[in-house]
Amino acid sequence: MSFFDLRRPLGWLFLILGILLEIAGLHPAPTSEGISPGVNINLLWGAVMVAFGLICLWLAHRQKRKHRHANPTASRENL
Amino acid sequence: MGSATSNPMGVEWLAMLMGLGFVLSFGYWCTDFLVMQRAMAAESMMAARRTPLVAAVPKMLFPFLVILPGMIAIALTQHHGASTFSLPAKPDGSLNYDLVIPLMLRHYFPSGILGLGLTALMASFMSGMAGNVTAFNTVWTYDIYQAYLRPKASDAALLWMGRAATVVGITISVGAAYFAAHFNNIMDLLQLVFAFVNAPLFATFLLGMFWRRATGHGAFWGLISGILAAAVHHGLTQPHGATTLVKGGWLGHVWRTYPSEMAQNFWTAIFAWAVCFLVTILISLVTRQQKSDTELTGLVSSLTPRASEEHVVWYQRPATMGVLVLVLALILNVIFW
Repeated sequence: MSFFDLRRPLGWLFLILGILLEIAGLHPAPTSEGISPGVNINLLWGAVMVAFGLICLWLAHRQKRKHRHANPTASRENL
Repeated sequence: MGSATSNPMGVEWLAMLMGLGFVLSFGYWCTDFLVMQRAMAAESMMAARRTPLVAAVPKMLFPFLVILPGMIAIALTQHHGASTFSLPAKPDGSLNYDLVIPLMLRHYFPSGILGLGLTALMASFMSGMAGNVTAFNTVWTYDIYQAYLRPKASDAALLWMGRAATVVGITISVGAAYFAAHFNNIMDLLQLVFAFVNAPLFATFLLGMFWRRATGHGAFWGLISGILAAAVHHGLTQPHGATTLVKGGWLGHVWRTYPSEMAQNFWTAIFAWAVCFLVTILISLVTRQQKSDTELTGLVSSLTPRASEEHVVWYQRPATMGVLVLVLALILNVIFW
C-alpha cells in the first residue's frame, strides 16, 4: 500500500519545490524593500522545504521496510 | 465582562458564555461536515474520538494566520520605521484591509517564494471550497434527494443530480461573496450564518445523541422552528449603526439594538438553539417513538457500549489529548490576554 502513503507524494512535492526555490535563491531577486532585505528568503525557505520533503520520504521508506520485515498484517492500532 | 458597555464588542458574559462558548463553538466544532466526515471514516472508535482533538491543535494556531498579518499591516502603516509598507486607502480615506496578505506577499517576497506563497494561498482556498462543495452535493444528493425525493433514482440520475448540485452550490457561494461585501469583517458574517444553521443543528445533534426518546418528527420541527427563531430574532434586531437590512431589522420593527454585529449574532444563536431544543423535546413527547432500542444502538450514547481504552498508550487516549488541548488553549489565552 506504499502507493497510497501520503508521505511519498508529499515528500517529492516538497523536495522538488524546495530545489526550485534554492535555484531561485542563487540570484537574489529584488523586492519593494530592495534586494533580499536582511535574509535570502528563497535560499532559507528552500532549505526548509527540502528538509521537510526528505523527512517525509525517509519516514515513508522506513515504514515500508518495517512492513516488509515484520508482520505485514500488523496495524499500529486495533480496536 | 460584567456589563455590555465594558468591552468594545458590547457583549455581556451570558451572551459570551452561552452564545459563543456553548452554542456557536460546540455547534461549529461538533457538527462541522468536514470534521464529521473524517470521524466517520476513522479506523476505530478511539481514532474517531481523537479527530476533533487533533484538529483543534492546528485550529488554535489559526489566529496567527488570520489576525496577526492584519495587525502587522496596521502597525507598519501607522509607524513606518525602517519598512515602507503601507495599506492602500479606500476612496473615502479609510484603510482598505481587504487584501492584506497578498499585498504583503507582493511587498516583501522576491520572485520564487512569491509564487509559492500565492500558490499556497490559492491551494488553501480551493481545498476549502472543494471540501465544502463536496459536502454540499453529497448531502443534497444522498441524504435529501435519494433519501426522500426519489428513492428509486438510477446511478446515472444521481450522478447528474450531484453535478447539478455542484453548479448550484458554486453559484450560491458566488452570491454569498456579494452578500459578504456588506460586512466589514468575515467573522461577523460567518457567525451570522452559524447562528442560523449550526446553532439549531447543535441542539438536534445533542438531543439525538443523548436522549433516546427523541423522534424524527421532533428533530425536523425543532430544526425548522430553530431556524425560524433565528430569522425572527434577526428580523427584529439590529447592530448599532446598521445601514442595510442585511444586518437585521427587516421585519419592520426594531425590538433591540445591539452594540455590535457579534452581540446580535450571539443572541440570535442563543434564541435559535433554545427554541430548537425546546420544540424538539415537546414534539418528541407528543409523537410516537418509531425506533426500537436495538436500532438506536451505536447512535444514542446511553445505548452504545463504551469502547475499552486499556490497550491504548496513555498519550493516545482521547482524555489525555483533551486535557492537552485545554492546557494549550489556556496558555495561548494567558499569553494574548
